[in-house]
Amino acid sequence: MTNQTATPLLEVNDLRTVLHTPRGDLAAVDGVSFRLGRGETLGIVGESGSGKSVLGRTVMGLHTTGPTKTVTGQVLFAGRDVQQLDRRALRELWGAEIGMVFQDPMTALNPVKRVGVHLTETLRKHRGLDRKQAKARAIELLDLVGIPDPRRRIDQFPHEMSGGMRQRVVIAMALANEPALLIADEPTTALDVTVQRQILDLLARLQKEMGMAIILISHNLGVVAGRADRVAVMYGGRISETAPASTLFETPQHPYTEALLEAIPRLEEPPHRRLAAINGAPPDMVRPPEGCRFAARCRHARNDCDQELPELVPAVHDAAHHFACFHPVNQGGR
Amino acid sequence: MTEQVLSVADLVVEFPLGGGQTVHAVSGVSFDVRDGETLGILGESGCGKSTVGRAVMQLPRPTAGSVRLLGDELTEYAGRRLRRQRSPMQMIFQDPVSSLNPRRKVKDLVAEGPRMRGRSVSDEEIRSMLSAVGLDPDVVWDRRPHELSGGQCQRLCIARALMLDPRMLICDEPVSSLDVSVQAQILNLLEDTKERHRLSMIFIAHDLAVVKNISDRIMVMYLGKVCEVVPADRLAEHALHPYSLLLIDSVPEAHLPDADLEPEHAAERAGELPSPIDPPSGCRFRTRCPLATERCAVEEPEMREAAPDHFVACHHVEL
Repeated sequence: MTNQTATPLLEVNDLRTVLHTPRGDLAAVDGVSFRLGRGETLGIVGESGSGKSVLGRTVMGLHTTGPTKTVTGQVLFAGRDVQQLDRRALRELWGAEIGMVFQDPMTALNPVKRVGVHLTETLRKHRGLDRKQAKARAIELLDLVGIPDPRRRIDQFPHEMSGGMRQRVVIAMALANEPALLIADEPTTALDVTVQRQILDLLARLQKEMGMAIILISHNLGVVAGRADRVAVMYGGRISETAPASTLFETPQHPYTEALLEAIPRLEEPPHRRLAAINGAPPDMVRPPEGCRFAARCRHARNDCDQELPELVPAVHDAAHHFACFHPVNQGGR
Repeated sequence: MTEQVLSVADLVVEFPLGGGQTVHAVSGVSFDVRDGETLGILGESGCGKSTVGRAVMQLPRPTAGSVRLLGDELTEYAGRRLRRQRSPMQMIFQDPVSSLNPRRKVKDLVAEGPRMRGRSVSDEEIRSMLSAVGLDPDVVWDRRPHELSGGQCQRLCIARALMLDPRMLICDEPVSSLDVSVQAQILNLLEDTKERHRLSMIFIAHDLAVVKNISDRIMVMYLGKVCEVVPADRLAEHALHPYSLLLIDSVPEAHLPDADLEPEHAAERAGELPSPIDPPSGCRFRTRCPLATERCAVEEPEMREAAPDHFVACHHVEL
């Protein structure tokens, strides 16, 4: 599991991504730090607007400082600062060392290119394979991601495939060059549950075979629950709590994590159970509150919560469990 | 015997494709909704669950079959008569923002239904309805839909439906586009509303846990057919149909990664949804079913009673 050796594969230090919007500066990611070891899976969960997707894209170097946004902090990928790389170096990094899978496979595929071309393009560019070798490898890859009859499929267009098959193609593209890190942003959200299960199983199997690290971004706690070694919960652009998956789900310390877990209907519970809804709405990140971002919706909030922003600190009894809250919920056991 | 608010028999919906081809969206679905009951319709995309909801509303009129609302056969009516007869039934959609006229203000949107039917609506009535669905009338009164959040728009849609004093709500994926915390608010609101207004409900969704939370009975659909009708409290442990079991097994909850998963096995499960243009003969699930035999290709399984209120359509389930 977590091996925090000397140089982790990925190290993110105090990352901030500020988007310049007509309404003012919006800190979509507002001071996030974490590390990810080789072969490890980090799950990032949060609701819409929590900053989880912007975080994923900033880590990849898709968001860099420019006219519309400012990025500060550090993203060290295998020792290199991603934010300092030029365009050319970034292109070398993408595809070859960092793969990505997004929510909607149709927008990730070019509708007028055959499936095979999507794969052979990257193989020829990054691997220097010739046409024939690239095609053979592409067929292998389609087979690897569980697409039946890859020899026929390779000549099809994306619209001739189902959503699940397309997402498999996107995964095959991301994995073509055996990247050390895969960033999967809501990879199964557009898919049906039975297909979702297949895709998540597929990612787990490929991770095992290739030993890559995964950042799995999702709004669905269930999707992340069984798949991640470590989970980080985001709220208002910050990590509110992070811990090994089982710890986080069994003994959450942050009231937001607890509230999220209680708001989800569960299959094993009897029908008509009243759900513990979280009242109110997330903060306006153009004008975030001074204190804890969750305080306004928190059941456990006290006076000091509005005064100061709580830092992410380790729990007293568990150094692997960090949370940002002055009044955690599960201290000293229930 | 409980009174039936809605009774649907042998509902068929087909869409012509041209070239003599037909999409068999719904192929012979029958069910009842009892007074005060919530019937969940569960299934994946393409199973026909939304089409059933719309066909019940006569949007469009089904190809064949009967839809009786409070004893009235809706398929016999058209035009103004149909609008009047089906008004005890109101519908709530998945995307609350796009189902509201973007140029109208909240106060007018709420009153739209009754006004179209020629009834005048007082501001007082609008205010009390907004409060009832958890919207502050003073805040939202003059706002337009784009100035509201997704959850607020869904509350507004519920208020609009309730203004017409319905007996039944048809909710088509009402919470799928909402965040977890807001989803819980809306599910609770629907539950409260149902009790307060003594409504019956059809709740269409793809999320098993959500459907189970709000339903009394659950109808599982696959490729235009009903596989199983099961009381909600029996879904998790006593569901019988192989497709229901596949759905339950796929719920991503505390699943540990299947490390030992054989590639062949993965490919087998990858079995794709067959085309509704040319659905499999016999049992439509047989192409993905672990229990399938030759009999499944030849003979369509009948609904059999497994327990009170629990019916399953499968040759191989032992009762």
